[in-house]
Amino acid sequence: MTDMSIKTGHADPVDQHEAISIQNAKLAMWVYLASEVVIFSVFIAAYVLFRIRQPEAVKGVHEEVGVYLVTFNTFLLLTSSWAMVMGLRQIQRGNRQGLNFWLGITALLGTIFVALQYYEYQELAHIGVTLGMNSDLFSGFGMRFYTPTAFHGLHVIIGVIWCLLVMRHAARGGYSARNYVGVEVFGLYWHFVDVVWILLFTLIYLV
Amino acid sequence: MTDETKNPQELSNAEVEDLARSVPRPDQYPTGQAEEAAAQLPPDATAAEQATVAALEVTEKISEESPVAQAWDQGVTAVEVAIESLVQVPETPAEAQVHVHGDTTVLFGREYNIPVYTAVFLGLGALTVLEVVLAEIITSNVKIPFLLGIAIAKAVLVVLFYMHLREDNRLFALALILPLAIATLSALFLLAVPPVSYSF
Repeated sequence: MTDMSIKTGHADPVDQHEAISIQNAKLAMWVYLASEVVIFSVFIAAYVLFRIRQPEAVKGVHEEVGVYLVTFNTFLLLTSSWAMVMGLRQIQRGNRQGLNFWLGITALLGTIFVALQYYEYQELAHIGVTLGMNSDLFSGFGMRFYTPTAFHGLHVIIGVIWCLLVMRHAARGGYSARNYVGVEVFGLYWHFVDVVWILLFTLIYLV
Repeated sequence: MTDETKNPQELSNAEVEDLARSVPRPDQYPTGQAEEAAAQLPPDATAAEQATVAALEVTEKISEESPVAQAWDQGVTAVEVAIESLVQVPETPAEAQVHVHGDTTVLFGREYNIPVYTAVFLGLGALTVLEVVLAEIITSNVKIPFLLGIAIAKAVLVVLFYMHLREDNRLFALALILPLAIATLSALFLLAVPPVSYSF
């Protein structure tokens, strides 16, 4: 068998080892996100099928519930994603305080998002959108709605906790302009949660 | 001949072609392994050993003669080469991490004094407002493709700029595209399932 490997002669082995560790950390996160893609795809597919087969039920919910609260919530999450990358920008320049300022905003916006989602659930329960097939007044809309949105909400809660841990690590000097992969990996998770919400918002609330 | 002290990124096109030529093609694979195995088969070989050699003979015959098997081999080789080409091996921590984005954004040839991240955020905000306005104004299903298109555009913006797929290792894109493609295909199959029971 032909040896396809190419010997390297320039890279510092210590540097290369660190570089590959960083690359592997990011690859691990992407592989994890791949599993999340499958889970959310199943939820989204179930909702889309329901939307195709029960358009009247979805229309009924849309008429009862306005789109303004959830639009505001969407803006919160988009802003939190922007704050996240602004924080990354700060640590790339070696500014730990700047990183923690922006991550603080990210965590705060994430918390408000979850609080407003809880408020929205209360409102929906009042008009008869419930998890149970028999108690739901909209032909099972509740089941298809709560499963993806609550699962997403759980991801936001985990993200907020993770964000606080990253902030604590940063405060202890854990990141620098040379190594900020921990921030990058958390950012991948947080932005993925944002991407999922972008799709859920359009599919569930607007279409 | 390729200089073995060079990094993959430093190779010239001619050297890459040279390397590619050194990879064995399916028609250059060593043959005669089945014959060799048959010669080494002891007289008291078990049925399993005889079956293994027979299977090897059949496989070799098929791979030599069948254009389908040869095409399959070439396909597998092409996929391997494609995956190899996606892998970028970083040599320094700076190479492995995303780079600092500048304070300006270039859009349609013009330079604006805002960071790329902020420009993307403004774009996402504007697209969200457009989505909500379209959804409120248009009541028929005509709005659906437009809304889905905008949502996908927003998601792509986040993935490319905030998740840095635009500049990061292209192998990461595979982790996103592959499960998404499989999940989408699986979901499409669900559409074929009858929504109600048939009455006979």
